[in-house]
Amino acid sequence: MKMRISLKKTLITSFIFVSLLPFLATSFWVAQHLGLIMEKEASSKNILLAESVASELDKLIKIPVHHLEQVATMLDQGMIANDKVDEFFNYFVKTDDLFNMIVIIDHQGIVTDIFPFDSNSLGLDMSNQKYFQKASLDKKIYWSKTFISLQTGMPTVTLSLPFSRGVLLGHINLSFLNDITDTYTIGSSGHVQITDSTGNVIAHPDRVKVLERFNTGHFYHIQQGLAGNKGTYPYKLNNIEMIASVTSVPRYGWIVSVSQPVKDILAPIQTVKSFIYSGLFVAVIIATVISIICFRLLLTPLTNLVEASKAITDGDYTSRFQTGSYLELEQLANALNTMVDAVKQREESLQDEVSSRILAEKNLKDNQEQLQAILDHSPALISIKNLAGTILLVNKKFHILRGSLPGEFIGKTSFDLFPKDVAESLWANDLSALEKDEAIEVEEIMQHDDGTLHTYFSIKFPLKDDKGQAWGLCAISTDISERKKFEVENKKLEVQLHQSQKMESIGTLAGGIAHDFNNILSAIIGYTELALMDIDHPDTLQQDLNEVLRGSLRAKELVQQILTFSRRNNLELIPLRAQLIVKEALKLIRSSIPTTIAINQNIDPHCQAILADPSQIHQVVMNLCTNGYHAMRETGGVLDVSLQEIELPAGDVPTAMHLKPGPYLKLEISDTGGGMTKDVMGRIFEPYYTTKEQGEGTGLGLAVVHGIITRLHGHISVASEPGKGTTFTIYLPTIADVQKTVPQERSNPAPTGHEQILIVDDDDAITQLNQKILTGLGYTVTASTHPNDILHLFQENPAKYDLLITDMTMPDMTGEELARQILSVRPEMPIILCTGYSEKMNEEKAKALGICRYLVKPLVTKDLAVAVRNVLDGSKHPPLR
Amino acid sequence: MNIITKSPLKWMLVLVFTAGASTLLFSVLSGCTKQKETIKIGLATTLTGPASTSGIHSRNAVTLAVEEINRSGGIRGRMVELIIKDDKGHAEDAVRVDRELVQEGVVAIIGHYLSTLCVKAVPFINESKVLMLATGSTTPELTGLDDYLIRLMVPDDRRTRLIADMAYDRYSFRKTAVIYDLSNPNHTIPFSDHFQKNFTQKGGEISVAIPFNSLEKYSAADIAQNVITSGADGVLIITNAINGALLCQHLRLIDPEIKITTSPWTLPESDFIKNGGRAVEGATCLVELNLQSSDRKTLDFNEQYKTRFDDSVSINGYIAYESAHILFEALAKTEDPETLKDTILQQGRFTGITDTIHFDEFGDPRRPLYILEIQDSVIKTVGQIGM
Repeated sequence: MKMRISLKKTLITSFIFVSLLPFLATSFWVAQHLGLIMEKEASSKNILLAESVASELDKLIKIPVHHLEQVATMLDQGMIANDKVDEFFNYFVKTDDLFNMIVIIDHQGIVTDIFPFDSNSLGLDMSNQKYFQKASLDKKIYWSKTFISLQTGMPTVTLSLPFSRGVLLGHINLSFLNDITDTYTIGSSGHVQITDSTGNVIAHPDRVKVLERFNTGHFYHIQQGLAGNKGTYPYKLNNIEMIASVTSVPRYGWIVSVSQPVKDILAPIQTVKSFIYSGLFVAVIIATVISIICFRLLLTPLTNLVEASKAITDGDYTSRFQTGSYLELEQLANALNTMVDAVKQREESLQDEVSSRILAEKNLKDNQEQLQAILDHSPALISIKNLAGTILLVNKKFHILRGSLPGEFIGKTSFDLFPKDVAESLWANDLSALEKDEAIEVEEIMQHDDGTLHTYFSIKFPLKDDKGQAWGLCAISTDISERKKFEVENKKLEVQLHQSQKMESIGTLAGGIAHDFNNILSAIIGYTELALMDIDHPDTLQQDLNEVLRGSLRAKELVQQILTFSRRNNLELIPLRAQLIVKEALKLIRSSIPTTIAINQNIDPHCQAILADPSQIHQVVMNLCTNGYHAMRETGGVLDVSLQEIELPAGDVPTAMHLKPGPYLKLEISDTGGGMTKDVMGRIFEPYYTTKEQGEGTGLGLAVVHGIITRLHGHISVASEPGKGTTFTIYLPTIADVQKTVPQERSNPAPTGHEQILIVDDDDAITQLNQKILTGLGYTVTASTHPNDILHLFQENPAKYDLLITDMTMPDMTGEELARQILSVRPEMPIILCTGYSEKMNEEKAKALGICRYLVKPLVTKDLAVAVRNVLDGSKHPPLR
Repeated sequence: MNIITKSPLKWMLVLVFTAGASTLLFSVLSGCTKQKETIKIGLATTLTGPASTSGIHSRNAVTLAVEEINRSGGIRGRMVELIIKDDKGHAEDAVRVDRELVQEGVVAIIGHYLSTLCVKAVPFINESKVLMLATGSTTPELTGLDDYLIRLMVPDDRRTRLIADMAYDRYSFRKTAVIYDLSNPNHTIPFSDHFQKNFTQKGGEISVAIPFNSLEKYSAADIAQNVITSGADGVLIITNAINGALLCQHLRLIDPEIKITTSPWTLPESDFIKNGGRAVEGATCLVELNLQSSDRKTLDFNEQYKTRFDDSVSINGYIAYESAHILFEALAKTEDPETLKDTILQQGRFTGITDTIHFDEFGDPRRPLYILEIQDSVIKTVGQIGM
């Protein structure tokens, strides 16, 4: 976070600095100015002092010169007696404070006299000494350099004066100069110093400097002094800033310097500075206190604003900006309060919106997670493609196709993933769904990663945007390969089962059928015998023959039923009127179960047709009625069979029935047997489940019934209680189209005619019978048992004959072949094909050959008459069965 | 989080900065500056008393050397600060001033001049591990010792052998008297002894050996009389310049032809000629420097010295100047005072005023010696010996 400066601190600090800055500047200027003035004053004072000392020195040094000149004069003028010389000089040295030794050197430089006496020095050769050479040669007073006397250890100078006997030397002890330098006190640590012409210190308050012959020739002020420049100069001594005022003593080349530490000179300035610092400190304190008080008055309202804003920031909208102080701040507070109210309102609405959004986002997230979970865990392949067929999304299951991750499918098309034929098929289905603009269900073949081909049941539907515009396609595909395989096997098994059931039913019915046939045959035989006996009595004969005919027709129906039941039929769904099938089945049942069991029929003859296989409907009725019979065979009872057409209204269909609203046939078959427990009732539709004795049933009957009804999009249910019998209720959807239906009632008299008809059947009795019937109806009939004969007759005069009636199964030539040959001669030749039972021929085949009608034997006169008449008339009556 | 900074605040910041800068300026102008720390070196020599002449020359020479190095920017940017102490020629004062110098933080000490003082100082400098560059000590007592003392003058055992050779071979000394000053016994007694031994080994004869103490009252005439009485044809004087000159005067008063040779403590000082007059003519001495070298470096130094102190450089001045430069050279290589000695000894050779100086593992020098002879009151180099 960026560093922030407190306004309060800034104001206080600024106030302090603003108030102190002029003070600081003024103080600095004053200090500097005062310093300069004081340095100048000190300089002037010290120069005066140095000049004073130099002047004093000049005077002092004149004294020994004067003394030595007097002595020399006294010696030259013989004022001192020779025997008094030693006494004089010893006294002189002793009493004169300036000289500590007097030496007389002859003109050769040999020491002739020395006072006080020193045997070591007497007679020594001093001709090499400069003081001798200068005085002797120049004939004037010479001052030597200063040196430390071995005798006194003090700075000494030799004054040499030529005189008549040679050179008079006086060693002057310069320690008296220290008295001068000691006299003056310069500040706290200043000093007066005298140096010789080489810069060596010869007088100084610090004696060590004198004794050690401290050389100051390198100091600037000494150099200036030696150069004859009087003045004040700065220099450093032991890192201490000093100023020195120098002046020279011209006669001897000595330098008098008055030195003083700058610090001492500026000591008053330091005092001033101390005052400044103290004042500054006090001023800072005062300024701080004042500024704190002032700014507190100013800033407290601001602080209150800050506190209020913090509280409001933390969500406390009950807080209000209050200053209670300055007008401007109060106006600001009011404006802020207004703003807070507005913010509060907006925040509340935002809060709601945010909550809604959070909830929506959560739901969306949940939905996404659920959707993702569905995608991830779905056993089906789920994909989304765009309109160009490019994959936009697939679920994990897709790895089964390519062993790849879902992401690797993205951007590809079916043509990138599958063989061309498979891809084209898939793409065609995609386009179909898009073109139809609705969901389609298709079976598709897709190749797995292991190379195997699998059948998928796919639901494909377009994905649309808000405007209803399709932007992609979603496909959900389930692998039904196993199911398909199972269905094929199951279908085979079912066919076998149906056949087994039929055989079982036949077994069950065999006894009854035999009984029926025996009864019929008994009646036919009996009435035939009566007819033969009554041949002479036409009235009785006709009655007998009518009975024979009735018995024969009963036999025919019975055979028809058996054929219908036993015929192999692989789910041939046709529109049919179930009431007729039910009636036929009941007839068969009636003939096969004991009379101890009554059959009550309530069959609505006007029921709409259903789309079904007649044999399966027959089988259903047979199975259920047989079950009822078995339930009642011990005790006898009533078998109620009802067939009604009902309407299942929308919203009133029990969910368990899985039926769509609409018209249905309701078939109920009830018995008054022992009934079933709930446990048994729950299992009766299971395959191979049976409550019957060993050998009485396969346990497949009800399972087959359930399968048939379900396949016909119907529903079967059972209601039963122990001791109260059992009721099976079946719903089958009706259809409006009833073109194909079961035989019509026959009530009209047989039609007649006069056309030429050819008849051929290998059975002579039938040939003759049919010839008689048709002849009796007015037709001209040419009959034969050999098809070749008939063919020849026709070929001889094809136009002569109006109709050919031929049997199908004949030794020389089948009816089919005969018809083909006849038609090859005369294509429009009407032909009726009759058959008892043939695996090789059916109505469709016959029609395809160009045969007009296909009749099944035995032929009843009326049926034959109608068929002949219809064919001859070109009528399109539905074929007889 | 950003908070809007308004212009008044900026203005105040400028004000605060100005005030701060003013305060800082005030402080600076008030003299609160700091300089880089100086390198302190000590000079302990005799500045007062009879033997102070040599010490004064040493001080002057070292002062010049320090001024010279500081003018050239110092050592690694640090100025050299010279702290001078007077050992007064006394052994007890020598140790005292050495201790004071160590306490004041010097990295090395140049001095002492007198052998007696060095002998006393060595235990202390060894203990303190402070290097001492002796400007005059030549006593054999300190030869071959692994100590913190490095000497620039040839030890007397070798020097006396060469003096014996010179006296016997070059100046035909056959019967020699020895006069030695007991004011510096650590120097003079071994010097005398070694000379006597070497001279007699050469085939010469020591006529008499006369000790005296220049710090006490003595009779130069009596000493001279004794020498002459012993029948000596030459004399070796071992004392300072002034006393040497005095003795020469008295010897030549009695026997103007007597041959004189001196210790390096005696003849090279200007006082010897000034005070000796014609009596010191022909006197000889063996010293470490060619005083008449025309080498530019030598001439420059002589010029500087003359300008600065209005005096000629003495042998002690040269040696002290050399000592200072050797120390500067070592300080340029190491900042650690304790390694200065090893630094010098590892380097082993340094360029002196006139010759290269070699140091052995004990810090004793090997360098040529020059024969000085006073001719017409001037010291002249007349030959080289040794090395």
